[in-house]
Amino acid sequence: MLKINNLCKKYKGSEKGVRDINIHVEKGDIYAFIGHNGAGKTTTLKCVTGIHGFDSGEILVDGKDICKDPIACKKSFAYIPDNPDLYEYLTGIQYLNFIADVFEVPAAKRSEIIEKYADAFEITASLGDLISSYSHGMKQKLAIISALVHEPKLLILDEPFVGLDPKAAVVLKGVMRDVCDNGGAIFFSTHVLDVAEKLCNKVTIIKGGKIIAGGSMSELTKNGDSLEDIFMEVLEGETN
Amino acid sequence: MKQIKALAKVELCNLYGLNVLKHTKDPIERRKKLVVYGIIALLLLFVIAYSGAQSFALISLGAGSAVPSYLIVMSGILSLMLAVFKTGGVLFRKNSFDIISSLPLSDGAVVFSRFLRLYTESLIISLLIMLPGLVVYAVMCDTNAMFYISALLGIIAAPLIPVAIATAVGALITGIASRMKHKSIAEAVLSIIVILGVFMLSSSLSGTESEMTEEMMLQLVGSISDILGKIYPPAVMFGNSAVNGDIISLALFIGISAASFAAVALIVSLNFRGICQRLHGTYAKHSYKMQAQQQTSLTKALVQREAKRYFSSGVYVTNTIIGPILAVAMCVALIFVDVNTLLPELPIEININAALPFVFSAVLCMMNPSACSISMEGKQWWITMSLPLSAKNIISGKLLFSLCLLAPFYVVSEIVVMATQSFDIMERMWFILVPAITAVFSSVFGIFVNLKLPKLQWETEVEIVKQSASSMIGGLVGALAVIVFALAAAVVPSQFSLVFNACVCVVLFVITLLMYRSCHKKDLRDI
Repeated sequence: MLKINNLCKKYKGSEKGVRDINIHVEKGDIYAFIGHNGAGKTTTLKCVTGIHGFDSGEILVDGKDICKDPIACKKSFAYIPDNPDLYEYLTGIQYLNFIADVFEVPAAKRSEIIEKYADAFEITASLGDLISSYSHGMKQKLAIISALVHEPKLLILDEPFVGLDPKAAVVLKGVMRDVCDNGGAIFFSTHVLDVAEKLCNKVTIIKGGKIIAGGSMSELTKNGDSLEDIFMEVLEGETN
Repeated sequence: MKQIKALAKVELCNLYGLNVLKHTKDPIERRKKLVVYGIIALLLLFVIAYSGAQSFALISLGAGSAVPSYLIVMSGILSLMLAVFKTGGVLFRKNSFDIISSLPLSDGAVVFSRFLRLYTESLIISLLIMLPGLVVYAVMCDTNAMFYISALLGIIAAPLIPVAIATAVGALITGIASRMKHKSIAEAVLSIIVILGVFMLSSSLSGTESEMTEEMMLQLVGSISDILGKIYPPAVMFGNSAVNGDIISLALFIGISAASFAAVALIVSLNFRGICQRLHGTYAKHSYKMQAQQQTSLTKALVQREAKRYFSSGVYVTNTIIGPILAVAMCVALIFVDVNTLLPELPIEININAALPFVFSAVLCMMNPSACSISMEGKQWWITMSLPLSAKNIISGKLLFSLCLLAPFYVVSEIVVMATQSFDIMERMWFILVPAITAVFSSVFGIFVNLKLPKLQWETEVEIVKQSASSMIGGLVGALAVIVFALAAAVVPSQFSLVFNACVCVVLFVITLLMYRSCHKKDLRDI
């Protein structure tokens, strides 16, 4: 579903960036991408989603190259950033319809999907209000619904649980499982290691722009260590 | 005082993006900024030269005593024009309001620090206009110590009244708009009314000048101080102190300036929180009931989204709609003014009818909204970039909106001109064709420039709409280019008009096409 091969990206005038990133997300995977602040998670996600260009390497989404065929790639995934800056001058429903129009979702289908998820996240009554009146959590919920409106095969999420109330977090976890059960995949960054451990079947740890550990969750935690223990151990090992 | 100092430091440290230039590690960002500063420096050189030349001309005409008053009037008008539509955005800006509100700071300190920013910007204008002119005056006329004291204090005090007036007008507009549901549109309409008022006033003044005889001109030189005094009474006080060494006039000038500034600052600080809360507060009904949705074509969805973005920003609308409004006003004015009556007064033979389509086009396309349409995406650019949209989709949406915005003004103007002017068939054709091609050219040129000089990280929309390089170059250079064609069209012999106009249209069309293709090929990632 998603193959990142030898991705290298360096920001101009800075040493920051990522190098030699290799990640394979397969159908049915819920794949966690963890690392501390500034490790390169968001940079990687932005390269995958075509927001940033990159210096070398290859990114394939559903077999298609993001550089050679960005439109086809973008049609098959949805992305939610860590800070959902949405079009504040639109109402929630106008925003959802705009996204659905871009993905050419038929009217009946979008009505059904919007109703389903707006009810689940309990923001139906606010859909007629301007997004500028939304709280951070409501914007996050709206961004999640907009990501689901075209039934993507791959969901790319940057810190999706930040700002969500506990109930919405539970709903989102359910949605993530549903996407995978229906043959899709999830690739997301998070700081919440408990969630990653319980929800994901694969994980990659990044530090200083470089992958330092990764693999299947069951393999990593087979000795009874929690993901938190492994994360701290790996980070300390790298520092020493 | 400590609060004001701390806040002022934050307000002023990034004036004209200097802090970003100082700390950025991105060489491209640094290079872009230096190019912009280079362009601004050229404009400033022009202002300095203009000010010096004006002073020299007045002294040569024997009106040297009017120079200090004249300079302070010029500086005041320019400061007022530049500050009046900025005050709302600077004083009551939404960005950081919540953080500032939560800090132990008095409203007075916040307002004063923001005033200080407006004052500093106007002080730079005062310096640029007054200093060269006063230097010329000092070199060519007799001066004493009082002149230098007056000049120094005058330059420092000069921005106070313009900033006070600009703030009063800006705050009034913002205050009225904040009570309305559609705040941005209300703000835009009120601002446009003020701009048109200023234009009408200035055109009535210039109308008087154009009807002047030589005798009247000589009288004018003699009574120039009286005229300046009528436009701006404090200018006479400054003139008296600088020319006649009248210390009381100087004290009065400084006293009135400081008192006006303090009074407006006090009124604003007393109402600051109320205006901010009304302006930034949002109204949510929480009453939406799910209903069947409708599908729209991609192009329509993109254009509609552009339209909503455009009309959500008062400053964006005000700055870009004034050209089309003036274009319609110009066509209506043609009903009452016969431009050919101007011909005998001009030193060379010109064909005004041939120049009219170009002049109309330049006014219609002045400050095209496309010149900042990419930058206005700001932090939401990620949405566009993560959606399955090609560069062609994105750019076409912006271009179509720009053309849709110009279309009604173009159509109304054409109807007025065609119904009222006695043009021949060719003149009519050019009056239809030239503005149409120019509208497309200016829209594409705006996008082209904005793609070369994008700025997605900004604090207030004013930075993009009024101060960005893209807005200045994309919005004005295109129109200026057409003005050059207008001048050329006016002097081209009538037998060559057809060839000239056809060549201009072809050139504009080809340039437009090349720029359009270049825009499509642009990699929009990392702009």
